[in-house]
Amino acid sequence: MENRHTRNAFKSKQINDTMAVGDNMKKRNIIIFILACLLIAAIIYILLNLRSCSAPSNQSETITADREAIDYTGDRSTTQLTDGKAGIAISGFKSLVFHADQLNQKVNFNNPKNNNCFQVMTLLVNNQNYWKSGYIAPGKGYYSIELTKPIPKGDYTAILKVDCYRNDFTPLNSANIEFELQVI
Amino acid sequence: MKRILALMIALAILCAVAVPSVFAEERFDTVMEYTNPSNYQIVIPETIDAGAEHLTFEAYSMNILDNEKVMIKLDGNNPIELAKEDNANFTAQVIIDCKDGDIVGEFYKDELSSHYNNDISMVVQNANQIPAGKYSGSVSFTVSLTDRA
Repeated sequence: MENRHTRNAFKSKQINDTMAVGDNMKKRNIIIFILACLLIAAIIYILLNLRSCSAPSNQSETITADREAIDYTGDRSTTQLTDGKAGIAISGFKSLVFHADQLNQKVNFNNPKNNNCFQVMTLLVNNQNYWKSGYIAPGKGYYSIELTKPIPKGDYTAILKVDCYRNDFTPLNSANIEFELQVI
Repeated sequence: MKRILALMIALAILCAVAVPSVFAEERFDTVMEYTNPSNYQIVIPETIDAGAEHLTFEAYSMNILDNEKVMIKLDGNNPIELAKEDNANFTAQVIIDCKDGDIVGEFYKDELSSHYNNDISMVVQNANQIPAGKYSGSVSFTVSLTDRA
């Protein structure tokens, strides 16, 4: 009788142990499943972020205008030279590159807009006149010029002569802008 | 269950490996270069008052390199001849006391006033021997951008 009781107890312990092992397996599987899901979610998140970085997205945001900027109705007086002296602004540069065998050349010659005088510009290379402007009003200039004759290949120290005139043709002080001219 | 898990993990590993290879095709590096040439805007006096103590020069911008400078030299004769406005037969001779021969102004990077502004003086020769009145004439300057010594 006692023996049978012991056997039953052993059997039920075995069943309990088996059930406990089965429960542990299930728990472990659930944890692995959750981890796998998290891993996939993380990869999808990284993928989406990489796409948004590599390609410009259609942003729904729009530019916000600067509220401090006011309506611009033309230039107003700005800081003047010391001693109340009027001055003539002259634009200078270090170098220019021209193409040999062609008359049309690209430049950035201008009479600065804050001047009160006209400027006549003359391009001198080896003391020879290759181009001369008319009376350039303040704020006007040239992005391309037509030479009177082509300049041979070489490196030159050229001069842009800037003569300044009042409205009534009175000559004012003038300047010669020296620059390196490379003709290629 | 195990099969599903194995499949999901395999899929995850495949995605992780695929990400760099997919984007490797879209990304590349290159070098973009641009050299903005030095430029400046100086202000020469519209007229020079020879009776003033000094000849001064200003600039609106001095966008040049650290090792460069803009020099203003007096171009032409020194003394400068000014003609009497109501009678050109009378002239006044003005000597400009230049630096190093003919330099009247010099600017370094971002300087908007010549550092010789207090050094360049002007003297009217024999001022007490010429008739009273207003004399005028134009002066030419040569402006150049050079390397600093």
